Amino acid sequence: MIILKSEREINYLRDAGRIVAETHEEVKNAVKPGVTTLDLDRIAEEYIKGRGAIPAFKGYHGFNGNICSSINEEVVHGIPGLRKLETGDNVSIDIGAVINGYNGDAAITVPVGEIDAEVQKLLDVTEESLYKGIEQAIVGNRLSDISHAVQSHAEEYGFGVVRDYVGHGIGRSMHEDPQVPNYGNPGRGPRLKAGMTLAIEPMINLGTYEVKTLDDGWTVVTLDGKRSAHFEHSIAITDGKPEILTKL
Amino acid sequence: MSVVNISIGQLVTSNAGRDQTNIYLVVGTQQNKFLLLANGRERTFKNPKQKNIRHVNVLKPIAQGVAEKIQSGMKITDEEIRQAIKILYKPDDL
Repeated sequence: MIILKSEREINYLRDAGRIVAETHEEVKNAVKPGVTTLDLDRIAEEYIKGRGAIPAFKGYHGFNGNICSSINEEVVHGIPGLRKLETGDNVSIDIGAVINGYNGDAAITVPVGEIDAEVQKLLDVTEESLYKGIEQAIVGNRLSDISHAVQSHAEEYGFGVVRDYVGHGIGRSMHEDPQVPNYGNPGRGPRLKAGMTLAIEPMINLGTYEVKTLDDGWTVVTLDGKRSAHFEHSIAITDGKPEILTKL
Repeated sequence: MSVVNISIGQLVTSNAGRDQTNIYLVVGTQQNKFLLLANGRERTFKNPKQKNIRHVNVLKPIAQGVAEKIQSGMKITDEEIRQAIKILYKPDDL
């Protein structure tokens, strides 16, 4: 069941989204060679708690981290640890925060120092495809119009669009209906209405779209070991343009 | 944080609990956290098993016929679920 949000609820989601966006700025500025992902986790935890919010991922189905940090071939759900970032890496940082019972969820992929032109292209295209998807989030369109926009932009450059993990609705729980795939034919699925709030999150691989989960039960890596990028925003569908909740 | 892509009609096996290794079809989801599972035998369409998403292995096959019927609100019989599992389940998918 898709829960439509009132203006008051969207205000709460804006608050949560703003905290997530600010935390992203803090963490992004801390990314440099030699920093461990656990350091980034601590920075995020301190900032989120300092703003009176709660990190949404900690303890979610037993997830042991405040953020998800996925390096290079790791697609999503990397657990923060003692691995040090090196020049040339790309690290995806996924942050969620809860305030007043409402969730904000967003992710960015950050280059560490100088990176290959090929990887930079992957990062750029993934971010562009996210915005292509958001553009389609208007009243009257169908859900898969978003999916199709993301897929067609990414595949134009020959990248692989991850199928096994998808975006989601967001509100009082972090994961609500509907699921928002990043692939599919246009014109399918439920019609979009004002008051729907979605987290759109393309996960794009340099090589094949196939992924597997590591033995820790969380970290998802590309099957061919090539790099992957991940960008995400929480958005609200309004009568006009979609509103990005997790942007400063 | 993204969610696992599970469709109605997807084949899953249990990997935790007393029903470990049992094979089910997904007949519904609840808040993206729990799945409603049926196998047409001890777990019927009317009385599905509620199970945490993290406690199943998701297999690739999807019973399209069953999925379409459920999504359009039509009734399906447990015989159809049993048949779909029988056709779709191949042990090497694990």
